[in-house]
Amino acid sequence: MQLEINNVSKSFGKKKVLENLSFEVNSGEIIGLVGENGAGKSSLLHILATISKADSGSIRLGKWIYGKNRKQLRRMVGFVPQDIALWEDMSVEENMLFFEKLSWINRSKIELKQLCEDMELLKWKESVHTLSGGMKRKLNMAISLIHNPGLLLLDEPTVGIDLRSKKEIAEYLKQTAQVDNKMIMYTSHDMDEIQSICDAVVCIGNDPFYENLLREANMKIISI
Amino acid sequence: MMDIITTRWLHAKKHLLSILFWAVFPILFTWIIISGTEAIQDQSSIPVGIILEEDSDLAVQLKEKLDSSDLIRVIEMENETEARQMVATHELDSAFIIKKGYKAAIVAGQRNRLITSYRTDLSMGYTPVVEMIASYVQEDSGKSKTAYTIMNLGETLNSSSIPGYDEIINEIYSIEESENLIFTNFTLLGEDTDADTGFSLFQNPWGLWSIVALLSTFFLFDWLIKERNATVRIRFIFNRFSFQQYLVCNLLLYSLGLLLLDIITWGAFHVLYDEGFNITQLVYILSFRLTICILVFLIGLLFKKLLPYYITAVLIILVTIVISGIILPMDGVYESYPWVAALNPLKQIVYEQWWSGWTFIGPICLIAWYVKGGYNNAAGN
Repeated sequence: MQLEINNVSKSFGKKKVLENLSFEVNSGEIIGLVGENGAGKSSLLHILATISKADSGSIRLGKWIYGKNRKQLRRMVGFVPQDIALWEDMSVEENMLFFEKLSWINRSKIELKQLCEDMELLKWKESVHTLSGGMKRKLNMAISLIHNPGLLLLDEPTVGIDLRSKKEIAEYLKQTAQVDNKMIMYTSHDMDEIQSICDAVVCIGNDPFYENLLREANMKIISI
Repeated sequence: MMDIITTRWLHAKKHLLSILFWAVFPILFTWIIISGTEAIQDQSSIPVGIILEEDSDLAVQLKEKLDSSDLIRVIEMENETEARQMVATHELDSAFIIKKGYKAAIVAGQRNRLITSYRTDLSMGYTPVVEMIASYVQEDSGKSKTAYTIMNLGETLNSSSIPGYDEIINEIYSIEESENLIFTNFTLLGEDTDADTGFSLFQNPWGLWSIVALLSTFFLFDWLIKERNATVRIRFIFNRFSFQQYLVCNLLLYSLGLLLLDIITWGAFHVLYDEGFNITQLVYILSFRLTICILVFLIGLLFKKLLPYYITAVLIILVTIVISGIILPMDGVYESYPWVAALNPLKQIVYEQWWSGWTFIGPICLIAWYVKGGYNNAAGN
């Protein structure tokens, strides 16, 4: 499966955030989106998640075309929002069960528990409000993976969490990209993290600072 | 739907006590208020002891007439000494002994020493009760005299078809019932005589229940505000159910659950208060429940915070109480502004009609909201 983005532009009022952006991503690849705040990283993720629409350009995921096959695309996309989107008064188990019931596919309780354990989220019975930031981030991600999406979009998934959780999330992302052949795109301001996880980087916003940083780190830049 | 029920249960089990409380609150509150009102009425009536030394129809009728008064609580006793003791200890206001031979004396036209009474200096109700008894005795005595006059007249005229004493007395009672001396029907010029004038809050279980049911529905639907503003809302884009579908399914679920409780209430009111138990009433209840659930749901959609929602709910209840004519008569307002009555959310229950304005406005607004939500949802890629 391939994600093709061709000349995508997006503006909010007079402010252009994305201008003729084009690149391709293949299954099993992890792509980092970097750029300063407001450069349009989240806007691109939102467009790819079908939450908002590009002003111009075309996007295709496999055989499905953005703007035409919204329902099919939403089944294939997993979106991990920047804000923690969990029911705080429910346990990890209840959160997983809740979203499994509303999901496109049926998953057994054992499968759901395994999904959490794969990312070192072991507090199955504990209430979300008692979890650490890192654990909440992991659950935030696990819920987005319930329907087994081919494309996983993560909006700053490791912001504000401890190093161990960051490492565990990074390990999981690498593993799921390789083993499950998933396409992963995520935004982060942590260049070390980008460098250690990503196969390639999309630099958004034509910012020379980021471009130089990526070149110094010998990162493969697929679009500027 | 089973999936929606499961997700609702995952939420509901965290607030089970609160949900159960608000679910049973309308029937419980109605029962407490009506029982309490009856108990207060019982307690505030004057306790009067009655001893029947004979069980003739006239003696029993006298006791029943006294008992029918709202101001008197008749306590039938067997023992005169006990009655005297209770009057002395002020457990009874006063006691009256209907002596043996009461009927015979009345029939014979004698009115002296038919009843013995006991009272104390603190017997506040003694004089009115004596007046009442005197009035009833006078009435019975008059009827008896009338019967004898007719019988004597028949004998004087040598009539072959003179009715018996009991026959004449029964005829007097039936004439009394069919041709009441005073019948008051007060209406204003040009006013329809069967105009609706609201209902009495404490005497109509359904009226009281409907107000509390509206309030409890507001409190039961606060999940809507909590869940609409939750960060998880974004996840519904990638789910089988859109957020609109999820909310509407939950609206349906709550409406069905509450309707089930309403049907139980319907049965309970029939048993407790002898209220009607027919299909027409079920239709009113069904229409009322669906209407208020949709109305409360739509109002809930307007709020992002719980406190303003609760305040609005209480204000709506107060306005509803006013426009239902409980505090002040609303006939004049209804005549000038008929839409006020039509928009009363309790209309189905108060006026026993199958519809109110909201029965039509609610579903139209709900469909408009759903379609608009679907359009916004489709506005993405």
